[in-house]
Amino acid sequence: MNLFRSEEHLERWLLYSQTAGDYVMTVAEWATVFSASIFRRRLEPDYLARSPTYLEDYRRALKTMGKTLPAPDRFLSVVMFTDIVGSTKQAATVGDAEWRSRLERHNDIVRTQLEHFGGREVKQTGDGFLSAFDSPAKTIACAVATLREVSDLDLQVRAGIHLGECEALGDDLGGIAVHIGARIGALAAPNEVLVSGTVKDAVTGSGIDFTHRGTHELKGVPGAWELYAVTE
Amino acid sequence: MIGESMAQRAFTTILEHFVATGRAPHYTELSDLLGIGVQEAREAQRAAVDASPIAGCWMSHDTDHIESWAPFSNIPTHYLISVDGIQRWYGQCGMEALAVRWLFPGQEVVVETRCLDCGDTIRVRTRDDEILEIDPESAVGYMPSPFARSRAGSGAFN
Repeated sequence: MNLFRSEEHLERWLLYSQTAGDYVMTVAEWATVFSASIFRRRLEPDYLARSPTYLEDYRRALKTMGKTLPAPDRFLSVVMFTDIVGSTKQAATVGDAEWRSRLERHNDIVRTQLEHFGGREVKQTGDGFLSAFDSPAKTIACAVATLREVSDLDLQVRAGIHLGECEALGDDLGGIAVHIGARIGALAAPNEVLVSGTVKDAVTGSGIDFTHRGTHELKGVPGAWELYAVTE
Repeated sequence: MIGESMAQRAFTTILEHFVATGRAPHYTELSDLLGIGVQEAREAQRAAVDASPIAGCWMSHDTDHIESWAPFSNIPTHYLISVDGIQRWYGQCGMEALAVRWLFPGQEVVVETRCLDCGDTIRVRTRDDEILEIDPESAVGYMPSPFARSRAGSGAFN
């Protein structure tokens, strides 16, 4: 992401080690690419919601320069979002010290359950977690166990689970499947594990029961989505 | 959980603060700017980071301090940005520095930096869609790929 006086200067740079897919363009060309909507419209009030569309504009701008965004490493994964319901209000009610203590115990519980059920902590999202699993049934079991355990802390947690192709972004995960998981998590009621129809279909025969929670549009995601709550 | 609209408000407010002052607001300031509690503001900026496209915003490691909010950096970099002759901003990287102009419509935005090989200056002068000057004209930008390499250990932000 650096500028050099010429390509020869770049090639002499100590840290330069060109790999396939690296981009070297003139500053004038970069200025054109960095005129795409994703850079130009950052102050729009609905920028974040529109950014997937703007990203396509960025891809097109690169393509006109004969470049393409590198194909991300994609793989099938189950994603789980867990989140403490009403955390701000609860923090205000119980005070900072008690809240910190509960939060630490909550985090310990989540991590213990992830380890037990073979999940991977991807990252913390505010007072929640994004985790990834190989098995949808184990993901559901992990979510149910986590919600049960944290209820002893007088906390209400909700969980959203989806199965789909994800993109590796270093240790992080990206891709539409992650967005869908987040949207489902946001729709879950307190103490509820809400899953997509994809997850429900994937665990057919596992003995896990579900209650239909209706058809939903998920913001920024095409189509209508059938959602199901896990019934213990 | 922070909703999408609050994440968007936090994202825009932080960016507007950069435009106005050259730096990010602390989340205690963001709290005032958004008219919400401090804890909620801390969560809102985290939510905005998570929602930001092309991994353009991040915190300093293990803190709630904003380190970078594309196209700006909250810590000084060698991408010095001047707007109408006043140097107050720093570019996140060489390419993002070229996108700062979109946040200052109608104003002259100058990126001044140094070549990492020889240390001599590179200067790019813009106004909106116009590239007024690139000195030297031979200047190039280098972006390692895949983008995961663009953070730790790649030299991308050296």
